[in-house]
Amino acid sequence: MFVFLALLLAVAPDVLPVPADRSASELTFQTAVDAYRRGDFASAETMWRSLWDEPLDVDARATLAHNLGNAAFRQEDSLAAVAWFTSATRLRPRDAEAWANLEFARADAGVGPADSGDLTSTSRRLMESVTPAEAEWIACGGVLLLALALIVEALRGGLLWRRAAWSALLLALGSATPLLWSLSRAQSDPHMIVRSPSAQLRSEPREDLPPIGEVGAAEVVERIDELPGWTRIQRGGGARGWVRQSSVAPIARREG
Amino acid sequence: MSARLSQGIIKLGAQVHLEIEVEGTEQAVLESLPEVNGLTIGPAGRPNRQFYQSWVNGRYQSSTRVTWVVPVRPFGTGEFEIPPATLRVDGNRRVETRRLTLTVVEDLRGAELGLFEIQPSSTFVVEGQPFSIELRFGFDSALDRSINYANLSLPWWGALSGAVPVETTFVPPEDARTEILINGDHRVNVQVERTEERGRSFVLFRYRQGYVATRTGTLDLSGNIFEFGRVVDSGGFLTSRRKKVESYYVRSPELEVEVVPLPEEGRPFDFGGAIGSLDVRAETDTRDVTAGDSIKLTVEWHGAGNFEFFDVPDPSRDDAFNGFRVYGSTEESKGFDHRRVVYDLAPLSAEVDRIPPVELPYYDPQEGSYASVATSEIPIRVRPLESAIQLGDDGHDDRFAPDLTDIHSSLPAARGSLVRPGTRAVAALWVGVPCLWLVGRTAFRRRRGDPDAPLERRRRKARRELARRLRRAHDAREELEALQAFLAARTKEADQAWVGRGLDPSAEPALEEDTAREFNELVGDLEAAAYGQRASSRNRRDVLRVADRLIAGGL
Repeated sequence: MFVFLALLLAVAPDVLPVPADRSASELTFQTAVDAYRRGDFASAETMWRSLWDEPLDVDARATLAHNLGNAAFRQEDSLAAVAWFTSATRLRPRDAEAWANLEFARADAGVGPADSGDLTSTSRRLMESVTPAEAEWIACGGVLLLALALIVEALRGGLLWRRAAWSALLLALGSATPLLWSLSRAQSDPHMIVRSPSAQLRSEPREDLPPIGEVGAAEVVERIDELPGWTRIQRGGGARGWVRQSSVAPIARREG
Repeated sequence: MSARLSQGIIKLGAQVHLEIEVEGTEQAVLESLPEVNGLTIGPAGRPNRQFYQSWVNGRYQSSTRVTWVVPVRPFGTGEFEIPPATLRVDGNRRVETRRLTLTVVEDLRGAELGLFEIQPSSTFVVEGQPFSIELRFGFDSALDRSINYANLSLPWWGALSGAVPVETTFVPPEDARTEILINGDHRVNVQVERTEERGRSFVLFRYRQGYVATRTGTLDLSGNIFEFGRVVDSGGFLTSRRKKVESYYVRSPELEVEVVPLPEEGRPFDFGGAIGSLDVRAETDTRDVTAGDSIKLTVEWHGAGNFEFFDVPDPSRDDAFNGFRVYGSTEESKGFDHRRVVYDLAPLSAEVDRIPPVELPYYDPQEGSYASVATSEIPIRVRPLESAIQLGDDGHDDRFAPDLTDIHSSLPAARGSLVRPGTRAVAALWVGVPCLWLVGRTAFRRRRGDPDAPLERRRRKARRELARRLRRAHDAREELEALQAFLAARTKEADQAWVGRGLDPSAEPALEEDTAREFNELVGDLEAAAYGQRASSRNRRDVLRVADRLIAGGL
């Protein structure tokens, strides 16, 4: 099995088929770029939005999100730009330009940085810096390294190889962490609050009810349900409620 | 048991002793002393024990006497009833002394011949306000030749609760100075001068002490006695005792200083606790600088105030100093009459043309209100840096502004997603690998034993050990011993088991006949060379080759 996997990595074929008609998408994309260059940001945004539902790969979707963020920002909608740039960083976690634009848009919107530099933010960013596919390969690599250490321990025994096996086990557990993180978020449907300074939370989707709370701008929430004009969300602390659909924008889920 | 006073009538200011004697027992403890308003009784100290023995009419007699001498000092005139003191004798028997009476009279002669005044700078101060207390005391100058001692008794000295002593300007001149004892243990230098008062000429002593009131309340400065007189030396050649032959006592008038809290009304938000009558001056080390260069602004507050206790102004919190970078301040000097602070400033641009005033709010007790004192504006010239960028308050270059990175001009080249092993494959690995390892390890060890056992380790190292010993071997005997050790390690036997032993192909089915024959020939040659003490015809490579064939054959 090890040999099979090694061959697979060495060849690294493209398994998924290329979209049959990419040329139409590229044409639309270029037309939008031209509109952007002319200063027609609204038209550029419309055209890029139309591509969002196309069956594009992760890289292309990340590029779209980046451009949509720029278009939103140029139309002075900083919070919408924050949502798009957040999507771009989730689709392509190590894109430095997307991160730079995200922090710039957040500062312009008056919300705190996405990466505040503390241990929690750094750990979260580290976990999200690999795609689900990369996380699976890393976890595989960790297990194979563990297997190697265990084989040598079985054949040679001794204190030295036992310690090596324990170390390999710890390394394997660590290498599985990004995958576990990715799996925990696979079923989420993240949205971002794009109303400033906050969106009002209600217990039912009715405007006449008094608000039961408020959700701050740029806060990421989970979409639970949806009705015309309303979206039911859940906050990180577990609080649930309905907000106006215009107050939230979807953030791209991680691939797969 | 007996108790008596050394004197029944004394002058106010004098000291008397309460003597308590217990005779006939060694076990005597003074449990408690009486307390009398207007008298200070004690401390008792350690008792004096004396043992007497004598022969009376042919009979031996002995006795023990225990004596306490307790000082008693009055702080007022009148007749004082001293209650009994309580003692415990012979372990658990309590006894009391008899009641005593002490009469304290004013020393009228002392009041006539002496002078004692205490003058505070103010009897009404606010919390945090500095004030001073001046002591003026002396005696008739006609007694100057006979008076040879003078003491002060100040109950509040060194224990004035609610005020702390501070340094003062009072320094007596060298030629008009003498030492006075306060409370019997503290010496101070006082100024000596002559003065005319009440129609008499007095030798006057003056001393001034500064204080700062630290909390509200009343400071009691009463109960003060000035004692002066003449002592003579008595005693023999080896012992010297001083005996007072003349003593006079002068009492100062009762005195209190009231400390009140600072008023809240009108208190500035940036009030830093400065109280007094203050003035200020300022100077700089330079007035012509380049933008960003340091300017040392020295500010000195002086006058009469609590200079050691208030917070100096912080220009970094003053909007007037927005054109400066304030690096900090240094206390250069601090005393009872001044405070000097050096501020380190740097003008940020050539547009700055003056140093704004540094303002200090303070409370003026004389006026009974808050006021402020500020330095004058100091004009300066700030030259721009050559080819330098103008920094804003946040350190950014104002000519440029951050912006987004540009959009992507094209879609990335189409390619499929990375081949993924899949979550199930990873989970299968996580489960399968440990299980396979456990099963394989158990089976391997059952068949081959513990690979970490000493014999097994020796067996694995046998080939390396053989090569090493052959490199170091000098003759055929050592080569033979190395080969025997190799065989013993591989077969997990003792070295001696292979002495004179060959390989029987029938007993080792895994071994080829050629290998066994070659081995036997090799051993024969080595033994013949070793025991026949002749050179071996085989070299090291031959031995290693045979060893490798044996290992390959399953030895």
